[in-house]
Order: sequence, then structure tokens, then C-alpha cells
Amino acid sequence: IGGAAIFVLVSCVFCASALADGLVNEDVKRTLDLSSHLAKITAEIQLANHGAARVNSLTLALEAELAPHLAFIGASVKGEEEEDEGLELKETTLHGQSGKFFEAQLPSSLAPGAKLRVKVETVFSHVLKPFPSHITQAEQQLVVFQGNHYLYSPYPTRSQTTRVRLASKTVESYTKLGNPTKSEESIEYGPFKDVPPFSQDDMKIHYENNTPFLTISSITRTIEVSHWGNIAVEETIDLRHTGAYLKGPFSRYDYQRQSDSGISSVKSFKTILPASAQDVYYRDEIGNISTSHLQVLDDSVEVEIRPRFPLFGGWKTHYIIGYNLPSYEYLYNLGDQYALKMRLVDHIYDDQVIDQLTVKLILPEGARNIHVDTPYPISRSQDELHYTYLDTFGRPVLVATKNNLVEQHIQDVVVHYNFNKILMLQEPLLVVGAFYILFFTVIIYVRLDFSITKDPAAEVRMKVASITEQVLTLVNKRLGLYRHMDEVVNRYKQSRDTGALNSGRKTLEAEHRTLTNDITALQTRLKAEGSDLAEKVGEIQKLDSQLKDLVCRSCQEAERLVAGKVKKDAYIESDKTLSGKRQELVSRIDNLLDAL
Amino acid sequence: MELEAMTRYTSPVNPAVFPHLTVVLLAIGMFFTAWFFVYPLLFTDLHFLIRKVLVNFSLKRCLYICILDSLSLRYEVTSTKYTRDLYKELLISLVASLFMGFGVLFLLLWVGIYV
Repeated sequence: IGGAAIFVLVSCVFCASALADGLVNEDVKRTLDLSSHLAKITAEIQLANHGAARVNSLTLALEAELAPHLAFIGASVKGEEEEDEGLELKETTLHGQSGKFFEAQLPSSLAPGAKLRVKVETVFSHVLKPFPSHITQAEQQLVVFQGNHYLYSPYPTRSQTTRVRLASKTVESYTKLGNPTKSEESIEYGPFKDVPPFSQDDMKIHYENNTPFLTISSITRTIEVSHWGNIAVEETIDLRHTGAYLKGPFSRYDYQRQSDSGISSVKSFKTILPASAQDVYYRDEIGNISTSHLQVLDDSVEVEIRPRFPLFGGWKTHYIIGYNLPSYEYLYNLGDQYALKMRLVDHIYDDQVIDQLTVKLILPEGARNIHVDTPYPISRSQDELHYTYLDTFGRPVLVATKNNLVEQHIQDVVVHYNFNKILMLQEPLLVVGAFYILFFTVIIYVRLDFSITKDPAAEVRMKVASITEQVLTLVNKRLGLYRHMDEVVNRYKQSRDTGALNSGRKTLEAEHRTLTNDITALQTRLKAEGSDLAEKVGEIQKLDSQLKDLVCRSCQEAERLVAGKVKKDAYIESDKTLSGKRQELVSRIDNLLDAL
Repeated sequence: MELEAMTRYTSPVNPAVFPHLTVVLLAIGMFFTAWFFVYPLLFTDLHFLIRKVLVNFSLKRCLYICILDSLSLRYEVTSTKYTRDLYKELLISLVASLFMGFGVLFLLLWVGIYV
């Protein structure tokens, strides 16, 4: 809908206004767009001030029959720089006249004799009545529009023309005031000269309209804001086909075979989501609905939604669509103050009509001083509390409702609130606390002793086990010592450094002595506990002393080789036998250790 | 409160980093959890059972000894069940629950449950 950047702010202020303005509509061009299921009436009015005084405001009027169906009204003034300025409209009443009236404040007062161009756009929902009200699958859908041939205005109109745009070429009947001309898909009425104010002449057009007559009977839009960087939007939609009711059976075969069967039914429609929408899901009570296509474009995300069955007149469906948005596009902050700027209602399908809208805005836990700026009046219900993951005292929910919305109502709402950043820590600390309680329970549990009698055997077993653990570690350390000794000998064979060899041997002796002493001490303790493992430890000690002898002998052999007292081949032989014996001893020690 | 004066809000943790943070924190948390669970169960029948199973499956004994060595350092045999390093256990469980807690939080965020 073209026009001004700023649209309507309609609030109910009732005041009487006199109409001795002297304003006159010089030329009016009215366009009635009946090509969809909505009636969009646009009037371009050339206004002139024929009175003596300056005029500050303008009154717009709507017929009493059409007024209850008004979904949107907007007015703009064409300025000198070819820019349209939106006008604020306030609802008023006029004495003795029926209908709805709106008062528009002009940006600058109109001097006597001056002219002004005003553009008024109105959208009406549910004014196109299907006639016949019940049709079969094979028939076309015909609707009736009842309106006014003239512009319903509090000012006299010098000259006006009305152009009606229809949805198709087929027109059953139309009222013929003033010899209208009918072209392809439009009817031109007028020009009508010198029409007095508040004049009405019934216009009735009965024509074929097979465009989708979809209405959203109710929609619940839930917006959940998370300060971790995500905004989750979910819409629960009840959709109805408000065209002519389907009479008789529905034949799937005819529907698929013939291209004009069920021509007024709705197979699919396109929903346009914000550009950064991700993780889109489309489901209902049964589960996921797979008949959908997602297309990511540069400036939007298009979802082509095909319900599980086509919608014929009187049929309805229910579905849930949801998506995630990054919070940096919609959330602003300065210190502790945050502002969320989001659309109150989003695009669901072209030329949409929403009978009843409920918006639920869930703010993070701990949001305070909530203040809402709406682009048009909505009714706010009591704030609720919503409990979800990792919540303790609930998240504040703003609930707002509104009836009868159309595409022009897709505008931003701004919500200001305060939020302390520290409160975000509450979520991880809750999980940490839960884990800590678990661990604490374990700590207490192992300290509980529910045995009826004291079990000395268990105590002894535990003590023995700990001693054996230590024995194991010490024996392993000792075996490591021998390996280390091997390395030293090898290095000596290459470097012939007797000093290093001697120091290595000394350290081996010293450590070996300490380890053996430790093991003997543990062995005595084992014996004190009365365990049979003490004997095994004794065996290990014996084997170990043999092993040590072998290691010393191999060391001596290496010395003799270096000194040249023994030939290389002989050395290799003796070395092999020695290492063989060592391996055997080590494996026996291993077996004993296993048995422990 | 003008909207123009405010800057865009960005999350305290960059969402691109959620997977890495999750894995690292959970890994460390699970290590500490495992370490914690060794202590109360040390030298109980469960401990013997595990050891018998491990040895029968001929786990490399050096590796097994190494692990046990690092975990059961300086264990006093004379201590009874009740004086068993309560403070050590409490400390380890605190560290373990801290890492596990934050790890689980980032796991939830990574998966798409923006808490």
C-alpha cells in the first residue's frame, strides 16, 4: 500500500465538531479495489477552502453500513515537495449523522481559497458476501459488494469519479447510476457533479471472485526473548476459508484431474518471514507437516505452506509455525535499559485478515519497569508469569489482544525494560547447585554405615588391599630401576665413561636398598594382619635379589668388554643368556604380582 | 529512553563459540567427576571387583599402576572411613559441579534451548 511513511494512530476521543468549515471537495477520484477478498477504497481528494477562516482540521466520514467492517484507515497529504505526510486521525461523532467520523489535523492550516490534496485509504474486511452462499466443487464463486456510488463526505463534492477494479471479467450484475462504462476488469462510474454532503446511493456489484478467501480466525503470536542471543517466535494459527460454502461431496479425482475444479479453494499460500529467520518449523497436533518449501532470499525468508488438505468454503485448519531470530537485530540496550523492537504481527499471506490476535511477549526472568509503545491502540491484558527451563520466579509475559487486523497492521512495537545483567548468572548457578547437591549426597552416602554388626573382616581386607597397592607400586619402581640401569650400561658401552657407570651403579644400590627396606616393612605389616599375601611378597623379594645379581653380572660383563678382557662374541653370548634369565625372573615376578 | 541512543545488544558469549565451550567444559567436568567418584569408592568391594575385572582382561599393568598411582597418592592406611579427606572431596566436588554446570548450560544453548 503506497502512501506516507507514517500511518494511523487511532485512539478513541469523542468530541463534537461543527462543520461550518466551508471546505469543499473540488475533485474526487475514488478507487474501489475489489480484486481480492478485501475491499480497499482509496480516495484522492482535491480539497479547497471556500470559507472565510483558516481551517486546521479535516473530517473524514464512513457509511454506517460499512463502518463496522473497517479494518484500517489512513490519510496523507501531498506536500509541495511531492512528499506525502501522514495525518493523525481521531474518531469523532457528528450530531444527527450516522456512520463513523475521523478528524485529521492538517500539518499547516489551510488559508481561505487555498487547495489541498488529500489521499484517504480504507480497508474493509468481510464486506464481500458470497452469493450464492453454497456452491459445488465445479462452480465458480460469485460475491456481492454493496457500497456507495458517491463519496460519503461531510463536505459537498463538485465533481467525482469512481473506478471499481474487479477480480475477473465476469460480472453478473451491477448498478448503473449515470451510465457507467465497463472495461475488461473494471467499471467506471461518473463523473458526478455537485453532490451534496452525506449523500448515499446504493451500489451493488455481483461478480465472480475466485481469489483466496482466507481468514485467520485467531492467531496467538508468542515471542520469547533470551539474553543469550536468541528470540524465538511461534505462531499458532486457525485458518478458515470464508468464501462460499462447499455444497455436496468433495471429489479428489475431479480436483486433481480438472484444472478448474474447486477454483476458489486454497491449495497453498506463501508466508514471508524476517530475513534472518532460522530453524523454521511448521507443525500441527499430528506432528510435522512436510508439505512446505523454504526459500531463503536476500531480504526475507519465504515459506510456501501447503496445508494437509485444500481449503474449501467453510473448511478450516490449524497449524503452528515457529522460527528463531538473532537478538542483535531486534534488541537494543544501554547499560541496564533494554529495548525490543519487533513486529506486533507478521506477514502470513498476502491480503491477510486476522479476526482475533493475541500477542504474548515473554521477557527474561527479572525484567522490570516494562513499558510498551504500540503503533496503534491494542488492549493489554493482565501480565502473566511463564515458567520454563532454569526458571525460579517466572518470566514476565505481556499479553495484548486486538481484533480485525490487515496487512497494514504489520508494524513495530517497542518494549522498554530494565534487566540486571548479573541475573543471567542465575541460570548456570542453578545447574551447578544441582550437581553439587548430587555430589554431596554421594559424600554423605558413603559415610553412612548401616551394618548391624561390625565386620572386622572387611576392615582387614581394606587395610591389606591398601598395603598391597603400595607393594605393587614399589616393586614396579624397582623394576624401573633395572631398566634405567640397562640404559646406563648401554651408554657406558658407547662412551666408555667409567665415572658415569660407577655413579649409576651407586644410585641403583642406594635406591634399591631403600625400596627393599620399604617392601620388607610392608611385608611385616601384612603378616601382622594375618594375610597369606605376606608369603608371596617374601617370594618376590627372593626373586628380586636374584634379578639384582644378574643385573650386576651383566654390568660387570660390560666392564670387562670395555677393558678388553673378553671378546665381543663371547660377551654377546653371555649377555644373551643373562637377559634370558632376567626375562624369566621378571615374568615370574609379574605372575606373582598378578596374584596379589 | 530513546531507541536511537541505544546500541544493538550482543550476547555475552558469542554463539559461534558454544560448541567449543560445551565440549571443553564438559570434558573437564567429567574428568573431575571421575576423580571425585574414585575417593569414596576406594578400597570398597566395588573397587576390588573393578580391579579383578581389569586384571582379568589383562589391562597393561603398568598403565593400570600408573593411573592408580596418580589417584591414590599418599593414602594413609591408618585413617578410618570417617576421616577420609572430607575437605578434599568437597573441593573436588565443587570444582566438578562448577565445570559440569557451566558445561550443561552451554550444551543447552548449543542445542537450541535458549534458556
